[in-house]
Amino acid sequence: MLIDDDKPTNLIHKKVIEKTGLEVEIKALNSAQEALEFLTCTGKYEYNPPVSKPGIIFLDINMPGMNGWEFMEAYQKLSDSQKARIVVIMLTTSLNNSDRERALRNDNITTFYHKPLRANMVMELVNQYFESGTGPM
Amino acid sequence: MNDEVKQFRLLNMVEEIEDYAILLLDENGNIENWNKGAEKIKGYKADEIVGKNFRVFYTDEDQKNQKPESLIETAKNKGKALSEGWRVRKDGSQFWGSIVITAIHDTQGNIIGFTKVTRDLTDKMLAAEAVQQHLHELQLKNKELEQFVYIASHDLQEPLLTVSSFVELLKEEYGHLYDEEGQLYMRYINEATYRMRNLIKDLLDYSHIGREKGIEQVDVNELIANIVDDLDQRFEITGAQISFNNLPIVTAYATELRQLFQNLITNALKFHRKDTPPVIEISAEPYKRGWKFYIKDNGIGIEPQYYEKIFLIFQRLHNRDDFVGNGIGLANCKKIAVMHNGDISVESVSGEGSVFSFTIEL
Repeated sequence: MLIDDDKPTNLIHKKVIEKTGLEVEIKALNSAQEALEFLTCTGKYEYNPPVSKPGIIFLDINMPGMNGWEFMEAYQKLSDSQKARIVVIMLTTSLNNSDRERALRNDNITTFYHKPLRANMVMELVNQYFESGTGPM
Repeated sequence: MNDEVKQFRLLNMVEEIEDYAILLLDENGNIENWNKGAEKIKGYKADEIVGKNFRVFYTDEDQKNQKPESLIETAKNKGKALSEGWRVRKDGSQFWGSIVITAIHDTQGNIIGFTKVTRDLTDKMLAAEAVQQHLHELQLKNKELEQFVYIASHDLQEPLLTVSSFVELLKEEYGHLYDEEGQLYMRYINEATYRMRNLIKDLLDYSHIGREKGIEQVDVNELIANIVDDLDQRFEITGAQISFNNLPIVTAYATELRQLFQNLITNALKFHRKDTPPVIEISAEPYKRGWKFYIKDNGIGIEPQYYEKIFLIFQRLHNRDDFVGNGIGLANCKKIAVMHNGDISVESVSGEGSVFSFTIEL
């Protein structure tokens, strides 16, 4: 799942993932709010709940309205089953060290990457956290 | 209470006071008594100092310049002498004292001596000095920041211009070779560079607010009428209505105040509900030594958790697809309100409207 308010950014990252040749479903969303609704099958996704859960979430920090940090606060409150086996990666342009430290301190965030997402970063993640191929992203 | 008892109590009182050195000097400035305050402030015990001249409390330089003597002269001629400056303690350390020397007379009007009341103001003086120092540092930092923003924005503009120019060329000369996807890529590049140029411009504008300050008497009714006039196309397109009357004449930075109102009105026009023409109401009431203005709208509203975030620079609540803008209008408003010794805030009901209020106190 790609969470970023900037459509071009989501497009670029989608293409990077597609080019790795991995068999994955990619869901690109433009707001943290919508991502929460997706994960909890509420709001927009109440009557059309998603069939599968994401294996990896790439989360931007600077988004209008609810930003990356605020999303993580809400994410933390989700049930264990809603969060099970999801790897959350903070993906941001921020060169701010304090952002990096804050992310690494957060138990729900697996790691912190600088944009742009590159193929080798994707492969590294997949190899580290997913044994046989992958599920949806 | 008879006179003797009263006098005794008076002397006792003087003796007990700790925060002021209260001394009696003879007509030559020799010390005749000592109190607790004197011991605390100047460090001498009574038997070490009584009989000596008060000159010893002064710095070498002051003594050379005959300062103690001139103070006594002034007290003789004018009745009292006031002085503030560095004085010397028994151990040689200095304190900043505030001194009042008053001449006392006998029943025939002859001078028989002086009272000297001294207060230790070292702490206050050091605090005032620190404030001045901080002010100076702040001014330097501000200058530095301005320079930084100026240079950064110029150096940032150039490569940006290069990118947009070459995208233009690509489109013109090689555009026909690109498929739909390729065209989309170029469109994204163009939009992004355009966005960045706007951001840089906004940053520059924000840093410029308050550079050239001109205080005037501003008739707010006239000001609003002017703004509405300038925006009349937008009013027409959105079918908006605005009401305001009996707005005051205020002391303000005219250009900036105009910008503040214009930003708020423009926002009210922009963030309107679908199929609901904007209705704007502006009112004012006296506030402390200035004024408080209310700008009320019937737009989409703002949720409470964002009440403070919106006044931060480049913070937006909505996607670019929904509402254009870089998120700087309200940051500018805040900067301008603060410039006027005031502040700005909002109260809102999501889905019904908002009331922005700001104060000015120049």
